Amino acid sequence: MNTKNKKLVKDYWGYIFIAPFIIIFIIFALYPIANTFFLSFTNANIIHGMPGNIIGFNNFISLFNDPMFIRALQNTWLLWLGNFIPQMILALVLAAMFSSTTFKLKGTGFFKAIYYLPNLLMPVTVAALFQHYLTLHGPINSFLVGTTGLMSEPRNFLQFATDTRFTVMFIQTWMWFGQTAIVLVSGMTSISPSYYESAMVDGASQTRMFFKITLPLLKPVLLFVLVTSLVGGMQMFDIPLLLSDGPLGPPDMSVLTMNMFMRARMNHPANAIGSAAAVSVILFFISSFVALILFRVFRTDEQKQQKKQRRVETNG
Amino acid sequence: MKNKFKKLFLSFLAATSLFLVACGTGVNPATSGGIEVFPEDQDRILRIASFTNEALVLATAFAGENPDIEIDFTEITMQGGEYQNWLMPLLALGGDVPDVIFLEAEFIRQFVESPFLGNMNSLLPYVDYVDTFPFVVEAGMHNGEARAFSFQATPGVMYFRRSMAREYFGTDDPSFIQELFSTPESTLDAGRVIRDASGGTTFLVSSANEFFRGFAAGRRDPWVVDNTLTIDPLMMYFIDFARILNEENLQAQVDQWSGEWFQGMDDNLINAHGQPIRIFSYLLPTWGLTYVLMDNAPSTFGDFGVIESPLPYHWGGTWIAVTRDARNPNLAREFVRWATLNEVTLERWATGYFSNEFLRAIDPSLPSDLGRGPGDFVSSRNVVNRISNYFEDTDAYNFLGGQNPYEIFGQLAPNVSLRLMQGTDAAIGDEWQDAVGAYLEGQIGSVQELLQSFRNAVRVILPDLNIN
Repeated sequence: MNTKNKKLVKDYWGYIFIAPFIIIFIIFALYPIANTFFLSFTNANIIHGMPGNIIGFNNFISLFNDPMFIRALQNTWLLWLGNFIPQMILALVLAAMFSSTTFKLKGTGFFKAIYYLPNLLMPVTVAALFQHYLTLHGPINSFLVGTTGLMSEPRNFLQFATDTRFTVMFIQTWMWFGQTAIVLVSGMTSISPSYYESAMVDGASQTRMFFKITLPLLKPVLLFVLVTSLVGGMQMFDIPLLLSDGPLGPPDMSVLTMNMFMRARMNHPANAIGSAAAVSVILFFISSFVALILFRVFRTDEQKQQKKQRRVETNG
Repeated sequence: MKNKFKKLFLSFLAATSLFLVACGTGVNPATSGGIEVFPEDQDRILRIASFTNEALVLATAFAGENPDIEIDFTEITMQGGEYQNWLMPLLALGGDVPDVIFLEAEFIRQFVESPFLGNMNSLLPYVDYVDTFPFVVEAGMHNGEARAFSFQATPGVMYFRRSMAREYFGTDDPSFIQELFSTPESTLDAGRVIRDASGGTTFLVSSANEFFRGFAAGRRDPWVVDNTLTIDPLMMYFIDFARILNEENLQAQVDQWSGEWFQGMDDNLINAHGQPIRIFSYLLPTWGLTYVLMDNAPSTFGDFGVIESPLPYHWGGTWIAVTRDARNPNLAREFVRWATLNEVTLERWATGYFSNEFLRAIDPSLPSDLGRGPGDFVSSRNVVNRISNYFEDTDAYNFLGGQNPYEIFGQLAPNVSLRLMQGTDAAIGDEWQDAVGAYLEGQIGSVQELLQSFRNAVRVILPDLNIN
């Protein structure tokens, strides 16, 4: 009886300590998510009626029948892959050089800071900067046409779908590769140097060590970078919106992302909260599903290794 | 244990949602049945929300005359729709609702047609008293209720460069230049003369979109008729007009509000080849003179002239409304009356009485750049007639090379009609301009594809609209 009482008192204090987090989490995260799910099944509209009537899966059906939503979905993936792949390659190369024990680069801290700088800029500033660079009479055109003569006529870059998409990918890569590189460096430096030492004794080359030691041991960090970038990329919004200077990512909706689509539905003149919520729910499921696959892929590898190790141990 | 937690959690969710629903269903007596009732004010704090600090100028001056009140001012930029997107859910779902909101022409109809504004029919007699331009009142009316009033009237005009007119047309006499720019066709011809005489270094306008408002104002039908998207023939004509401007090099391909657009006013625009290029005219309304041109074109001071636009139009303007859920509806209504339907205030507003010194004498904590210079065109015909002469020999007069801007604004204002004005205008019009822009550059291959791209875009922003 006595022991049981003690246990209860302990539990009680534990709940008190976690209460602030749980309460804030429920109010500011769980409730909004649950409410978004609820709203996605309604025709809620800010002006014409809140909370609206339940209309089943109609919002989802009309979204998947909407070629513009499909385009937004495709654009989002295209823009994310188009910035994530180069960003990852760049960051891996930089991180490998920064953490390499054979190169022993000087002033890595300085360069890390420099590469990280674009990430500190406000998206508004970055978009305005690139917008200004890319206008018909802007610096890039005058460099290509006037200074170097590489082009005979100036080009209104942001009036072309390909150019606008490329610019968005470039900006995203440029803004995020420093951040990714720093995360990867911290992952790489946590790998025990003894692996490299023994590899070097065996005469392994730099590249071989990178692919056989660094990459496999970096998997947890890579997973983290991949998943956070995926979640961020699926919600890509500010740069495409501000750069293209239109709610629907002109020209011809070439950089319209799912998040922009969601906001176009939520804001005036649509005010269609139900439809916007449905877009959010789709976004939620895509992100969760792909993240889950990534976790699976990475986890099974680890498990395989553990299994192998166990087998070696039992056999030995 | 798990189940218990689940139950607890679910009941918590249910409780919070019930609570939120309960908050949203409060019925306010102020507008029930469309009859104006006057609930009691709660306090003497006037809560004002706006998208520029103009509102603070008016509010401070109002507080100067009514020392017992306190001003609680919120400013949120309207760039990217931020102000509207903040305000609409706030009014719809409740919260710290302001008493007075400022509304821009671009989105006033969206609010006026919503159920969230208070009725101000009791102020209508003042309209006759100060003789407000009819279109200004029209814009704030819905179903026979006056829901917003304005201190401004903002007809659009065409500002041209006098030195270029002398160079290419032999004279800068506004009445002669006006003849050249009397129709869209004659405007194109005049543009060709400028291009040929300048060797292609001077452009008629910055971009075809400068004329968009003129074409939009001349339509027979608005964008939305019986909940169906309607493309007026004049919008199709705008495509042709823009294509000619583009193909024949009559536009400088400079976007409105871009850095280069401002450089063009001040004559320091350089193209990619390193040659200086010039822009002959800017299509801007009344406020374009004081807020845009005079602020951004110091080196071309005195070199501008003003004529009527080949296609009459209207652009912008700020209206003031009282919210349905205002805590101080009477004070708020009194502020609207004082700011928009009061000849003394309007005259002071137009003649620069509300200077920084004046405002800082009332509230020393105000920033040193807050204040109102002379020149804004006001909504009362009585005031306009009375102060027209005041502008002779002011900065605005000299900026226009000795032309009185008030005279031409005063001639144009009575003709403005807002018959076509709809809450969705800005959103649909922007998509139209984007589609036309992509077509002009070749991103969109044909007019058919342009229309398809436009309809697709409208379907995103207006999912419930019929679009064929």
